[in-house]
Amino acid sequence: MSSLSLLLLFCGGLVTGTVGALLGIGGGLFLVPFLVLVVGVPMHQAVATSLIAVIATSSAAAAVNVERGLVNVRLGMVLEIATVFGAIVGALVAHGIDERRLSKIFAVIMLAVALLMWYRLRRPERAAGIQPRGRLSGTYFDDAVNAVVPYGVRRIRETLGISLFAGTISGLLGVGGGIFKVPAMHLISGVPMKVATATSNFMIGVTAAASAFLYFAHGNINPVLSSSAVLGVFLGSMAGIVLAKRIQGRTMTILFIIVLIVVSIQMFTR
Amino acid sequence: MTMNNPTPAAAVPSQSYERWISKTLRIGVGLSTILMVGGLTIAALQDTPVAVPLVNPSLVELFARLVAGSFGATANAVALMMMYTGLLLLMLTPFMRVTATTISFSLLRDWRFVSVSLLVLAMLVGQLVLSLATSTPGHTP
Repeated sequence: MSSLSLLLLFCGGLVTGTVGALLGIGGGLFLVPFLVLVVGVPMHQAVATSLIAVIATSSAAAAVNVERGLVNVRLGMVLEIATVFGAIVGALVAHGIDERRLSKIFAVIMLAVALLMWYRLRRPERAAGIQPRGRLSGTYFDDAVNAVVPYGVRRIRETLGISLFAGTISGLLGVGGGIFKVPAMHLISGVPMKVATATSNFMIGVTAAASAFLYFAHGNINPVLSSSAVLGVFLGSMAGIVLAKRIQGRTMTILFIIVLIVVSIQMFTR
Repeated sequence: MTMNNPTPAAAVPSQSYERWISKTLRIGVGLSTILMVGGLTIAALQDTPVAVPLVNPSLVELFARLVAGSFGATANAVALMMMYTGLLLLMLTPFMRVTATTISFSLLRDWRFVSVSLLVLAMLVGQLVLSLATSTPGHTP
């Protein structure tokens, strides 16, 4: 593999990581199509590389968010029971599915994410505040109001069910699954948006690790390809987090929803 | 609902166990990044393109070669070893995080969440054992 190929992979990872972080959906959703459609990597290897990128970005973000007290560690651990189980099932199922079918499933999920993003753009999510009660309740410091905000957690079973689905999708397709878990935690369980996002990010590294070794065991990890792309996504995500604070992106989000739909069609018809 | 005068326990940032979990994550990501960057730098500095093995070693073989340090002394071999080690370390970071969480909950004597963490850890270890048991060499692209 030449230095130019390494550079291409790194830059591809950088762009997909930045875009993923800007949209708050992680780099995997763009990295897999980039590796498959642009670089020509087999689908299973693209998924494996994406899973490692998810571990890197999640772990780095979680290190900061845990220290800031934004992560509900107890809630995260409970939901990880479902996501980890789902991820193992997803990875085992993925190895029984051929390339083309896996691409088609990926395309359908991309389309679903595009629709979810469109829905969230039209209807900003507001969850009613829940009285802090029980072992899963918590507090966090909200910069916007300059105060500590207590919150409760309700209807954990429904959120566990959606987490199981998100974990399965993660193991099957190499994406983080935060796009499903964050709305579930916020809208169903009443967790504040900042805490839901940070807790989801905290969880996805463990979810991805639950299936990454199964891909490794099947020889789906190329060290050169994975290292270049993972480092690119990692740096891109960091850049995306910084940029996201400056760019108020309604137009940008609409643009990327269109990109998601176009790429999803390409993945479906490949 | 907000609290302008929180108790120390509720003033969430940086409880000792959270700092510990955070540190575990930072160490894992930091070390693996250094190894991958090092491996890629060595690969990029070679006159000839880095030769990726046509068949990836199995997970068992890879662990054995990493432990024994028997990857070879050529620049190509060193670059590959650093990349493999970096990737494996990164993949093991969440295991370390769950272990740190389990220990933290035990120090807090929060046995219900010790059980929850142990269940997650057991599933992670279970899939690792399954991966080792079913590990086969794979072809690289």
